[in-house]
Amino acid sequence: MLQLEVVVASGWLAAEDIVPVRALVSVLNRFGDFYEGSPLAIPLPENAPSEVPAVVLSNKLGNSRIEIARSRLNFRWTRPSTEGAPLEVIVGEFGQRMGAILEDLGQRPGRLGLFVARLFDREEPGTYLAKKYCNEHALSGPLNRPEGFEVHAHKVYKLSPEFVVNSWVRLKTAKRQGGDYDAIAIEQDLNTLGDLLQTARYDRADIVAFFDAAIRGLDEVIGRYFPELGGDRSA
Amino acid sequence: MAVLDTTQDDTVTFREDTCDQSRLLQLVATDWFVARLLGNAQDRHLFSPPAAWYEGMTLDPASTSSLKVIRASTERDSQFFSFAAVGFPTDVATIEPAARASSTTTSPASFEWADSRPDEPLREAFDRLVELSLLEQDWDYEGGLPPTPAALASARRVLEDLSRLDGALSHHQVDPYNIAPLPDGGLLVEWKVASRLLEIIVGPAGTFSSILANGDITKREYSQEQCISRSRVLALVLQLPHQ
Repeated sequence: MLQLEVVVASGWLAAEDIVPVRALVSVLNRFGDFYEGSPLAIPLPENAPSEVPAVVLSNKLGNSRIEIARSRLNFRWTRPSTEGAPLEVIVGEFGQRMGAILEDLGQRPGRLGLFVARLFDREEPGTYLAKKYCNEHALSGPLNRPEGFEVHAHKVYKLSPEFVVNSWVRLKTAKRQGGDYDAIAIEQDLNTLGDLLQTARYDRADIVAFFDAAIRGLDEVIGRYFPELGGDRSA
Repeated sequence: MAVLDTTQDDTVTFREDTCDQSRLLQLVATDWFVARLLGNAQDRHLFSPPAAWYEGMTLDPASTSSLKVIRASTERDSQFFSFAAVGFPTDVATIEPAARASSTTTSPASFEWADSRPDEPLREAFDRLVELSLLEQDWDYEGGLPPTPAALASARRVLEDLSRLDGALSHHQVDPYNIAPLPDGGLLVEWKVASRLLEIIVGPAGTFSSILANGDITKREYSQEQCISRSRVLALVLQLPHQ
């Protein structure tokens, strides 16, 4: 079974147009009941990259947080120890929140991205991945019974009529508790093209539409890599 | 100014110059003191014990020059720190920790405190809360109740949140203009920016309500919010300069 580990929804601005305190006020007013952990301002040197978060606000459980940088908003979710959440719900809420906050700030991002990391348990995951993606020559030679194995793939495709995206998929053998590899980590990164950062301007409806499409896109892609998982993809 | 000397065996010595008893009592009651002793001078706010932790500290009524018992603890990392039988002679006082569970931290060899503390955000506000926590019943000669632990804790939490935002805010933006006790055991915390005055009323149970006054005295508009969250309090404070 796939287990969701990390979800990060990001919005990039073309310039350093986010005033962290103003964004914080928007978050507190709109979503203060959710992000009720203690806010934290990170003292940054003047020459720090504008994508580095200046203010971080977390939920009480500590597994969901918003990171506010001068040119970027990140919404991050990390699997807590005891409970999970449907991926569609997490990503959908992130899209809604990002759209609302940036609308409050009068800003439109030029780039949007969604990163999702999942794990699924598998005995001898290196061999499993090698057999899945390598030919007989490789398997009988240099890739004979590998313990660790990684596959990275990058594509550019049309996610929907409005969005052309980079799609990164990284499959890696992983260790849940040290010792031998016992799982496969699946990382998916779907983001609009960096070349469009300066020209694209996504409004609130675009942002919500992107994340709705992105989660469907991720699901579809992972179904192609692991058809054996059937419908069990998004938990 | 008082100078606090510490040594590796955790013997703490006060060298008294001009520090008076009430000031000493107040300063010892801050978690800053504990943080310094535990070697975390850079991060006093990691130590956020409830306001009640210094309640065990009393002045010996028989002598104005001695502290009878100081007991301080912090739950962070299960560290526990206590002082007992503190003597405070006229010019030299020695505090010897009676028990200390954690030995993982080292004490700084020597540092100054009190008036020489760095320009920490909200320093005066935190000190003011400590001061108010020492009020007794009938502090206003009209039967006023002392601030409740819940009210002090709620006010302190807001101040801590603001102090954690220090990197993104200026001091004048977050420093309260006034903190005052209320007769029902609550607190009034006020911020003032230009002609805007924000009053946060912390009830005896630690709840918040707000009054925002905007405009000069001849033409002032008021808006009130009852039973608001801590997040809303923070938002009101942060947006005060921008309204």
